[in-house]
Amino acid sequence: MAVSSVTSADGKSLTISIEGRFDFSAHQAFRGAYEKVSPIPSDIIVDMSGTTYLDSSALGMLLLLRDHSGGDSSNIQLKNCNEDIKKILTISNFEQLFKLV
Amino acid sequence: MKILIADDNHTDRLILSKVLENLNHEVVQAKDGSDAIEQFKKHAPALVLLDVLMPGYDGYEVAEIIKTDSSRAWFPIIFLTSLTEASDLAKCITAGGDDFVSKPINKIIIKAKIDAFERIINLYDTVAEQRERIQYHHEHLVQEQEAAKRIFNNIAHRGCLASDNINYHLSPMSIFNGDLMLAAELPMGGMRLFLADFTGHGLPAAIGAMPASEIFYGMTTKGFSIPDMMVEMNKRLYSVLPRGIFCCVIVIDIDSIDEALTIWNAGAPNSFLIDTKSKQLTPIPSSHLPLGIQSPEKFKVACQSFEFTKHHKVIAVTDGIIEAEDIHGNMFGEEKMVDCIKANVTSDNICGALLAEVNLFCGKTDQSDDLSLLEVAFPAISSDDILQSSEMELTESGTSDSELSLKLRGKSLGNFDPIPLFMQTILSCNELAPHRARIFTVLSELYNNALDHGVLGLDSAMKNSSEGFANYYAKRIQGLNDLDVGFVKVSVDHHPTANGGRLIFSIADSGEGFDVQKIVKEGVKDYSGRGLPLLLKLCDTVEYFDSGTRVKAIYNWDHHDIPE
Repeated sequence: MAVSSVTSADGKSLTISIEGRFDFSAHQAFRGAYEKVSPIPSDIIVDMSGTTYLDSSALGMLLLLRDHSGGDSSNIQLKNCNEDIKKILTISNFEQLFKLV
Repeated sequence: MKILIADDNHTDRLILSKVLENLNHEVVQAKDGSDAIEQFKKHAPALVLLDVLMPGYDGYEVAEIIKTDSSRAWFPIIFLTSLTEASDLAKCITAGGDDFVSKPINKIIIKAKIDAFERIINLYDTVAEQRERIQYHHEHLVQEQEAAKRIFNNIAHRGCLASDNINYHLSPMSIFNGDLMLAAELPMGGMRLFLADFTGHGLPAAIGAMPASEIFYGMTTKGFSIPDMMVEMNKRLYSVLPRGIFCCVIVIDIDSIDEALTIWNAGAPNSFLIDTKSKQLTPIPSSHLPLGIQSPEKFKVACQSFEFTKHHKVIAVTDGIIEAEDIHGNMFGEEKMVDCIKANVTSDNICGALLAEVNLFCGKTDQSDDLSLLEVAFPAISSDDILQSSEMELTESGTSDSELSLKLRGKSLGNFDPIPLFMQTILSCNELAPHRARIFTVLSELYNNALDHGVLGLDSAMKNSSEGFANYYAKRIQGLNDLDVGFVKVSVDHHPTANGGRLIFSIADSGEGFDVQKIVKEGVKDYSGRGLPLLLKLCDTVEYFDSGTRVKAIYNWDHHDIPE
C-alpha cells in the first residue's frame, strides 16, 4: 500500500492515488493526503488505477473524505476502479455519493 | 549484579572474586559442582561462571542441572576453561552454556563479556516485564469483553433464532466483529429477521449494535413495517455513529398468512431466494446505501416482495463469507457460494454445507469466526398458532370504554401506517394483552383489504402465481406513490361487557366495492381473497355493507376465556 497526492497548479483539484490494497493499513496515509492540504480544493479525484482491493474500512475512509470536503456539497470522483472495486462500491450504493468515472 | 563463581581452585576463585567485586558486582562462591548447585538455588544469581573441570559434578553437568530450573526466566552461564580443543569448547555451548573464557582469566576480556551479558539480561528483563504487563492487560480485556458480551446478549438477545425453520452461523464473539443477527415473531404470525454488519471491529461496532437491536425488538412487536423501522434505525445510527462507520443490513419479513417474503438489502452482498422445487435461485441485491450514511431527509426504503411458501428458503450473508481467504489470499467469492447453494439446494441445512465448504477452501478451522450466515425456511406457524397467548392479570384498565377513529386520505394512505397507532391505543387496556396477536391480525387484514382491494383496486387473484406475486407488490407500491384521492376510515369501538368487552372494527373505503357473496364463497378455498376465513375464525361476526365498501367486524372477549 502506498498513498500519494498531488494538488493541481491552480489549486482547484486534489488527486489522491492509492497503490495496492486500500484497507485499514492505509488509514493514516490516506487521511494525511487530504488533511495536509488547506484549504481543501473543491474537486477531489481518488485515482484507483493502482488499487487492487478495497474493503469496508476503505469505504469508511472515503466517507470521511467526503465529510471533510463538504459532505453533500462535495465533489469527489473515483477514477479508474477495477471491476472488483466497482462491484464493492455498487453493493454499497456508493455511486449515490461519489462519481464513478 | 549477583554473580556465582564455581571453581575448585581456591586461588583462581579468589582472584576472580576480587576482580568482579572491584567492578561492583556481588559475588557468591562455590568450591565444587554440588556446592554450585546449592548456592545457585540459595542465591539465584543473575550470571554463573563455571569451571569445566571440577570434582563431583563437572561444569557440563552443573550447567545441565541448573538450566532446567524453570523458576527463572533466563540467566547466562559462562564456562571457565583451560581446555583448548575445539570439541571441548563446543561442548560448553551444547551443555547449555552461553559463552566460554579461557584460563588463565584475562581481566579485560571477562569484564567485557560480563558487560555484554548484563546488557542482554537487562533487555531480557525489560521484555519479560513488558510481556507480563501485556498479558495482564490482555486478561483484563478478555474479562471485560466477556462481561460486555453478557450485557450485550441481554439487550440484543437472539429472539426466536432458535426456531426450527432457521439455520444460522454466528461466532459467539461476533459482536466484536461487528455482526448482529436478530429474529422476532411478527404480531400477526410469521417472523422478522435482521442481519447487520457494522464496519470496523471491537467496541465501536458493539456500541452501534445496541440501539439497532432495541429498535428492532421495540418496533417489531408493536407491528411497525420494515420501512418505518429502518427509517427509525437509520435516524438513530446517523446521529450516533461517527462518519466512516456504517452498517450494512438485510431485513426480512416472512408473512405466514399471505405466504409472502418482504426483503430489503442495504449494502450487504446478494441474498438469495431459493425455490427448492424448481431449484431456482433469485439474487436479491443491495438497493440502498448502508445505514448511518444518508441523512434522515434523504433516506428512502423500497422493499421487494416475493411469494414464499413451504418450498422456499432465503439465505442471507455478510461479506465475511465472500471475502474469506485461502492460504494464498484468494477470496471465496460469490460464484463458489452460489455453486455450493445449488449443489445443496434440497438439503435441510444449506448453512452447514456452505460453512463446511468455506472452511475447506480456507484450509483453516478458525476462519468461521468472521462468518455470519442465515438460512430461513417457511416458519412452522399455522394460522392457529397465532391464537396463542400468555397468562395475564385481570384488572380493569386503560381504554376499555373508548372509541378511536382515523380517516386517511390521498397521499397519507401511502405515508402512514395506522396499525401501530391503533394497536397501542387498544392495548392500553391491559386485559387485552393475551388477545394482541388476534386483534393485530383482524385489524391489519381489514385495513389491508380496504387499501389494496378497495382504494387501489388490486385483485388478490394476481397473487396465485410467483410472477403475479411480485407484480402485485410492485403495483401496490406504484399505486401508493401515485395516490392523491381516495380514503380509508378506520374506527375501533371498545365497550366493556359483563365479563370482558366487545371490540367493533368498522372500516370504510373509497373503492368500488366487490361481490361479497362471490368472495365469501371462493375465499373459503384459499387464504387469498381477503383472508376472510381467517377473519371469520377470529371474529364473532364479519359483515359487509354498501356493496363491500364498508365492513364491520365484532370481536368479543372474556376475562375467563383466554384464547389458547
